[in-house]
Amino acid sequence: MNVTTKKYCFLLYIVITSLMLSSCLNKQLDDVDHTINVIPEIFPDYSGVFFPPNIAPINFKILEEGDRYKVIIKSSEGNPIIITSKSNKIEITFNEWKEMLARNRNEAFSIRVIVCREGKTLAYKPIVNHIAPYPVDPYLVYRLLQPQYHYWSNLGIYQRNLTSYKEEPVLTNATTEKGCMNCHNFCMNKADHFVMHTRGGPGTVLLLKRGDQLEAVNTVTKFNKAPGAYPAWHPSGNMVVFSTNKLALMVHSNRVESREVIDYSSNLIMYRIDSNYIETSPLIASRAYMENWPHWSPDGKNLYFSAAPKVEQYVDSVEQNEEAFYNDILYSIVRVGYDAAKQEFYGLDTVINAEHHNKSYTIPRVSPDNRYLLVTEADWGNFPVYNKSADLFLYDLVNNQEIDASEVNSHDIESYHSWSSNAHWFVFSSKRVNGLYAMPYFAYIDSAGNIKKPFLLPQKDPDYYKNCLNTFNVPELIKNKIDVSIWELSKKANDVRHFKNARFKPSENVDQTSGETITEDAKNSMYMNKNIDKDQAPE
Amino acid sequence: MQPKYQRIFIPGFLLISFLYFYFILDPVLFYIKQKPFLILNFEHVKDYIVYPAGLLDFVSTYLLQFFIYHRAGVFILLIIIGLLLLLTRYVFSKTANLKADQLFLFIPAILVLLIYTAYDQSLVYVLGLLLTFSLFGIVPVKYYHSVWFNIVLFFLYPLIYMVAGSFSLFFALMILFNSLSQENIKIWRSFPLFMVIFNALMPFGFALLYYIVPLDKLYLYPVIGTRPFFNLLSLLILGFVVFRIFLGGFALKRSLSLLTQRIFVYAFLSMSIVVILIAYLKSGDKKEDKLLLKYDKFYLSKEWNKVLALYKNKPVDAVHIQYYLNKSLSENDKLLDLMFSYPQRYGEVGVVLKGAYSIHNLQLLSDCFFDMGLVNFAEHWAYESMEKEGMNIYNLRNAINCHIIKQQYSLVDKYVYVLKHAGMHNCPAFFDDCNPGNLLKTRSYMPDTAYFIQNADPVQYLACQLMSDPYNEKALQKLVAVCLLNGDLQKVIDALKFFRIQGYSELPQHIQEAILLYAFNQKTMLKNNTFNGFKINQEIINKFTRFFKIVRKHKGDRRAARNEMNVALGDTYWFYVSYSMKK
Repeated sequence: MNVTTKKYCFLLYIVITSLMLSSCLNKQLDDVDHTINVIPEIFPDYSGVFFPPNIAPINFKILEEGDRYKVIIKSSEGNPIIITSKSNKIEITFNEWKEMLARNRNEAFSIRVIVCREGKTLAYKPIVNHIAPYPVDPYLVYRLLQPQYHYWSNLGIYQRNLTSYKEEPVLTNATTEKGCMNCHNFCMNKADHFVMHTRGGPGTVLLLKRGDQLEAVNTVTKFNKAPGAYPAWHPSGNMVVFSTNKLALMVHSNRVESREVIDYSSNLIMYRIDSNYIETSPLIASRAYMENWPHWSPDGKNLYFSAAPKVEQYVDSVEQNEEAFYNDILYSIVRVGYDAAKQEFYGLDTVINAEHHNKSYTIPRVSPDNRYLLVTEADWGNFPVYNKSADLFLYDLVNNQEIDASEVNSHDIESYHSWSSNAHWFVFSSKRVNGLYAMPYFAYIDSAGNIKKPFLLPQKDPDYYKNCLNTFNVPELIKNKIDVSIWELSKKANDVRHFKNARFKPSENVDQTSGETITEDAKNSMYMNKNIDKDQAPE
Repeated sequence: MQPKYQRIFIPGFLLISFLYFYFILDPVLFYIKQKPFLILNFEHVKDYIVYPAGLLDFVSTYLLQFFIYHRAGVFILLIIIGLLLLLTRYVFSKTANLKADQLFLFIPAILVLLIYTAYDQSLVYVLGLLLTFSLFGIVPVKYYHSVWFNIVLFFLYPLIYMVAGSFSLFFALMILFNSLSQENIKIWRSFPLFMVIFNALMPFGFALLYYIVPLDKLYLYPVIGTRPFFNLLSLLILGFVVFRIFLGGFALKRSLSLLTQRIFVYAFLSMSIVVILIAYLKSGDKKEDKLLLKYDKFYLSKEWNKVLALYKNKPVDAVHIQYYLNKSLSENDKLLDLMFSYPQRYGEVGVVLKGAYSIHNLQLLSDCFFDMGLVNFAEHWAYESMEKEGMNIYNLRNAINCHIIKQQYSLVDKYVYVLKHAGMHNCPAFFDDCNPGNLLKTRSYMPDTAYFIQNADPVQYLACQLMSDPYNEKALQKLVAVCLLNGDLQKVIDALKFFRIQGYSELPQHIQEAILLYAFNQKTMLKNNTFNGFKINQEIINKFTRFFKIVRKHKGDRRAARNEMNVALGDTYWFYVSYSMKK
């Protein structure tokens, strides 16, 4: 081919391409040239999903190549929503979306994607989704921070209105001398009953909001040298159980997830808000076991937690390093009864036995209807956030059997989770998109106990998650907006001189001088694999 | 001002500024010091809008990104100085017509030039100054501003405060003094003047308001007041400009004699210069700072020979400089030949950094581990660096490289997307390491052995590296260097098999020296000048003989032996073991 021919070929190519492009631009995308019998790839993956009827518009990005795009969202009631765009980012009009959700509750709807590519109009197989009959709690509270090891810089706890895209800071460390904050927890999904910790800034303190009362409490006592960590509100709102942990972050030499958190020692303590007392019991603070991740059943009669034998029991010799035993540590899910009238714990019951499954179970969360227990299952350890094997595990407390949760699990980490107050939705953290940044996913569970495919929290900009350099940590659903301002919380967190010091109240089972529990032998004999005698349990 | 002088002075001043920026200042060092990184996306940009002067900070960070290119940095600084000069001239021309302006005109620009002797100085300060002068240039200059003007100004102040931060105080005072400087001030109690004063105090009010509310740390962004030196400088510029306007205003009407003005002007000028010089001299260790930054620059741009040359001319006693030195030798494949030609004051830490020694330069730890193929540790410190030192192209590059090696392509995709929005993905510093050859090599070095870094010492994990991949040259070099520095000769001898595996026909000089010492300690004779199949150079044997002669000659007088040996044998391993090694 000589140079002149090449030139002509090039010109011809330019002309044809221009014609194709212009035809594409001029087309109204009404006449479909071809139908492709596969559903288009979109991000986030909103296909075959159940959405709550109060969720914000599910803007998404079409990952199929094209010059122009048209999206038709059809439902059985109401007009279809039609969006045409030169960009592959599809933004749905707020009012149209809300109207469709309102008129099609408990119905399916389809998303048809039409793409104009190289002069041809291609229609993909419609994506079918459903609108669930039950709404999700309208606010999600989470901590935003960068993927971390030891250091932190900017972080904060935020609340997001799920019915819109509005995100507001609850407390950020810009106002608390760059300190750390974590472990926000709510009593029965109530926005005005919450706790959160701040540390590393002006002081280490528990911020406790109960109704109109906001307090800053120092939970360190002679019993627990470390402050309370993972919290669990008693449904009465009068007591919070905390774990006290001795955690260390290690770095693996050759695992894909390089981080590992080892808990060397943990116990549970109770903070009685009205009396300002820290208490404990041998049943929840033993020398032989590590108790962690507490959670109250919605009726307040049982305290669920993770428990594993103490680290020392895994160590063969003094010289042995952590790499020799870290993946032998398995946590079971245990529950202990609580008599509110006597203010006492009684009996222990192993709900999910780690040794039976050869897995480790953490973060127990009972559904608000007391029917399901949602936990995180991993190959080892207490910190599933950094464990690639971590998945969600659902247990039917009524029929005492496992329920298939494979629909919500992925090849990557699924970890922290929280129930919506109506027990039909739960939110969980998943790192399935890129393996490092956790993102909040919502899953629907119908009345028959079937879990549906989860969806990623919608954002106004579909590229939000690509730009976002923060991980969504500890997602918690709440029924209302938190009304205490960032100013008030900051003021409390910074007012070191007025921190309220909790006092330790030794019980008869706790050594008065050392603060150690003393009846571990009795406890050990009843611990693990032993069911409590339900007839003996007080009403 | 006479135009003919301006025609000479302004270009002349700019030429001097250019020469200063181009040959003396080195804008790249600003980049190295500050490592600016900006993502042009609303999610990130909005963080800059919420605090006073945030927009200035945004523009400053954006412009500073280009300082990675020397010429771009010079150009930007020159434009800024030029604009400042022109704006000063414009403001003065509006407020006065003194003939002694030639010198006054250059004062703000000269003061700004002085600012840029400190490499941690961003462009916020000078951009704020430009903005203030521009605003003042726009405002009509007269003693009586209309009610409407003042009302508009009143409502504009919050906006000006958010854009210009504390520089709005400049602006307010310039307006106030301009009005007060006019002769016709008879209506002290009149509404316009009240508004002028009120408006002038507004920004102070805002500052106070932001201070009272709990978000003081977030919102009272102290453009003025970051450091004592800049406080002083700010006051000087403010005082000078206000004074100049004040003086100019009166001069219009009161016809002060030129002589009086000159005396006053020169007295003020001289005092200013003296104060500035004192402040400048007291402002600390800028020369050393520049030297350290030069080391950083050569290290980051992988100019190893320049690191070595700089060390020869201007050695610095610091852990990270020791690491740069050893790294440069290693990159030139001379670590085990020449490392004892240089002082080794920090032992193994000079070769293999440890957390506690490098807490102020976490990125360096990431580099160090990446170099050895300990990818998880490199990733660990890259992320720690992002938290502690802020995201920059160096720690992001390391994170991306680690994720490529670990085949976490979704993360790579995410970070490349971020980089494209930062506009720095074409930056040469970024692409240096991102070539498949380098990454494949590092990937082959990844350890097979599972352990936690907290539990491993350098000898342990370097040995693990070698067991996983006996061809890992970096691990072998570093392992042997560490053993030499620790005086652990047995481990050096144990590592000889890896030299054989890696195809060494002749051992590096310091290993040969170590072998001779080992043989002497073990009372072993070398057969045909060979040890374990490796030939020992006759010249090194001769040196060793000489070493012992000197030792014997001084019969236990360590100081005398050391002095004599330092000249001829100061670059040998024996000298290090005998006189420098910490035991």
